[in-house]
Amino acid sequence: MIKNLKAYAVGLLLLLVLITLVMVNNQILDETRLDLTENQVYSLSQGSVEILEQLEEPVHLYYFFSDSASEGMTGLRNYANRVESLLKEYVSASEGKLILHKIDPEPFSEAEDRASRFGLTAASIGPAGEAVYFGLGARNTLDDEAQIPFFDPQQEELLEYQLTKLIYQLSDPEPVQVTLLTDVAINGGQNPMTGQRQPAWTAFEQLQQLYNLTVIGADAKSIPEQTDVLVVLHPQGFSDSLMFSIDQYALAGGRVLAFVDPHHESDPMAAMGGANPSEFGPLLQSWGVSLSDEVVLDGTAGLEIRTATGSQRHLGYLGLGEAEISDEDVITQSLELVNGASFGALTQLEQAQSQWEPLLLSTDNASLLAASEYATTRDVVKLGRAFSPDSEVKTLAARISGKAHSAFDKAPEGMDVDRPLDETDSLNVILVADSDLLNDRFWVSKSQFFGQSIVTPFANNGDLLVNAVENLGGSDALISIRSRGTYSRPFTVVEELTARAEQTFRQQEQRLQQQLQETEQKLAQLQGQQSETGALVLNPEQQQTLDEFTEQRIEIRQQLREVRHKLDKDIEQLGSWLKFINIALAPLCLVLILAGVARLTRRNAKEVLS
Amino acid sequence: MNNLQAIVKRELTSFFATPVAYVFILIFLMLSGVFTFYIGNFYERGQADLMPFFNFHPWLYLFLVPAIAMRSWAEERKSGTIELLMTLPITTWQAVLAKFIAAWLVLGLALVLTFPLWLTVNYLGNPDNGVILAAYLGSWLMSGAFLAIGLCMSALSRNQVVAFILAIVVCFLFVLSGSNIVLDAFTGWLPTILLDTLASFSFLTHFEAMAKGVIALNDVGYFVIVTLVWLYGSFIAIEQNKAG
Repeated sequence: MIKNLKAYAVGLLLLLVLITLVMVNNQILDETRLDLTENQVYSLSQGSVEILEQLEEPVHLYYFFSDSASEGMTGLRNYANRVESLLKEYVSASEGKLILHKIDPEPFSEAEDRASRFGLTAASIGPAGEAVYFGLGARNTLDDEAQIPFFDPQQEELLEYQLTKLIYQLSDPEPVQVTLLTDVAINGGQNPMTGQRQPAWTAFEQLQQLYNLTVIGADAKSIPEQTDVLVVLHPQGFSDSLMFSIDQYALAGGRVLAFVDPHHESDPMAAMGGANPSEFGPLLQSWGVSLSDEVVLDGTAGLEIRTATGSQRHLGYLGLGEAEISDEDVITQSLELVNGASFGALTQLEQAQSQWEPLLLSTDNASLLAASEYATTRDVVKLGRAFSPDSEVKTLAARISGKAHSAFDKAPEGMDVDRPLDETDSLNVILVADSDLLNDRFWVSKSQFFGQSIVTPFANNGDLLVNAVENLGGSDALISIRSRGTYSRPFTVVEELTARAEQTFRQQEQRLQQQLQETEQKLAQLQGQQSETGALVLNPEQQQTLDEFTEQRIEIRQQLREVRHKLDKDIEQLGSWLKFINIALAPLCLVLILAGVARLTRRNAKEVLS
Repeated sequence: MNNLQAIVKRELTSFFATPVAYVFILIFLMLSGVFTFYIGNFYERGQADLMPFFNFHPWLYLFLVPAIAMRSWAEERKSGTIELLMTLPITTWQAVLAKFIAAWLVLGLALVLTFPLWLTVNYLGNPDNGVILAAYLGSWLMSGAFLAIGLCMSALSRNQVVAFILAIVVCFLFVLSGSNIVLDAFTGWLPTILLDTLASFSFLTHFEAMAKGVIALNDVGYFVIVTLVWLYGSFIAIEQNKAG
């Protein structure tokens, strides 16, 4: 009895020791960590440190976390610990410029009012729908404010970027003046086709958050004088005076980021007619570049899309991976994936004096298709049939710099310019041959997280835009930390197999389809003749031909099905092999080798002993 | 130290002298393959990472580690070899540590032998190998914690089956402690700091944090603490038994 009691007491004591040690461990050792990820996604990067060093005035950070209301929510509380420890890292790296205040906004408290004044909203979490605040408000000495309304645990990889961006917003005394010149409805508005209200494009909201943004349309006569970076999106119907104004702005050393497109398909009205091309030709020409009026189809970079008949590769929707993105330019080197639709091909003109640096490329398994034909082809399979790769890599975005001349001999009528500029040595332009890539559907997904609207990027399109603007606007600090997260690490071997298989079988499919069409035509003809003559009974030869055609049709259909089936066969086979190797072959072999080695070691040991 | 080495060697030899280690490793390799490919849909996911592989480790260990640990002390006690062991010029603590190290090395070997999967994922794409390394480290540390619990249960019981079941039950509590099922029972009447500690008791929380690619000192510390405390539990159990 006494022995038992003693045992229980010892057990209880051990349990207490365990609890105490774990508690101490949680409190003391929670800040030391070794980040083994490739891009150091969970550590403070050099870019963040640089931004902190540039801080001139103190910035107060108000970290709101509903400590008491979130009891028992393990996942959220763990993430909150992570956020807090990262914030502390910022504070210690800022050498006193950042001041952190931790606040628990209990219901109906003054702290809760403060949280709402910062624009933070409570998320209703837990079985009883507790209101949980988990955000950050920040204020500088000029009373400028910025906030992160809610930290989404799903976006941990972007946490550092969110925090550094917030500090950056409050540190830069003179924000970059960006002028956005476009008629595309990126600010949201009513869809003319459906009548529904559409939200603003995330890319636009991103620009608005980060910079002083002025939006002007094609009806503007000139661009505002206070423009650090001019962003032109799908130029169309620009007046001569506006074109001239852009021309002169670029020649005077102004920085231009232009998204031009042989077919802008994100416009709901574009679905109505043929191609919807950008009209920027004279300016491009004067900068030494031309944009194709054809669309780039790519058999390797084409994205899988869902159609009514299943998943199919759309050769006009491209997903450009690291191999297609330049790692030499600061704006693209950290990008991993850029998605877009109906890219055009940019080429440097022979007589061009400007310098040319490609930023985005197609693969060498690409071809061009007239934008008008692309625009009217709804069927993905038909698009595949129009594809004939010419093993030439196409440039989809480029940086143009150096020498350029004016697109105008003289100022347009009505414009009063004393001395128009003829040429420049310091052109600074970034051209992207697609305007659809800024549309949400190519790079972000929107979801609801406990009542909060959360935008999750699945490609770097937004980063490309902001990197370019920042670089042109003269600040590179944020670029190095953006998009350090990994969006996608696809099976490249499988992708290559798919592309190769598709290419081989597409031709076969095309041939069979043609045969089928011919056979069906002949069959229809024969059946038509039969009804024309009114004869109910066919003569034996006619009957035989009809039977033959019918049989042939069945056979071709069968072959077509097989072709479809074969498309995935190589991939399935690879999968089966890998399964077999990993589940049966490798374990058995390894254990046999292990047994052999153990036996050998034992025998050697025995020999040594004897 | 030499004593410890010698007894680790003796334990390791005994593992490999019988089919125990081989069968364990074979089952571990095959099951992890099945889970990865069929339940985790590794191939269909098309992503070059080993998430589907590591996600199942806590659940694999839950059954396999108690199986390998159950015989260690129970068998010695049942067959009477424990007396022999204790007459050797070694301390109880050395014996406990040696048994743990030997079995932990076997678990480590089993993990290392999953390298074909690592080769597979590197063949198929470009995974973040730093993340994979961190996950392997986390998995090995976690297996140590499972093992320490299993060894303690084996030291407490003369019957292997009882030791096995007890170990599963205790390990299961450690796996689940951070889940809402357990936390809900305590929410409201336990202070927040204790509730947080309870939540942080879960193997899953610490392992998942490491499997993301970050080796945080408190995650490592947690597994080390749990392992050492349970090993100390074994020590006490054996000492008590000796005294009795």
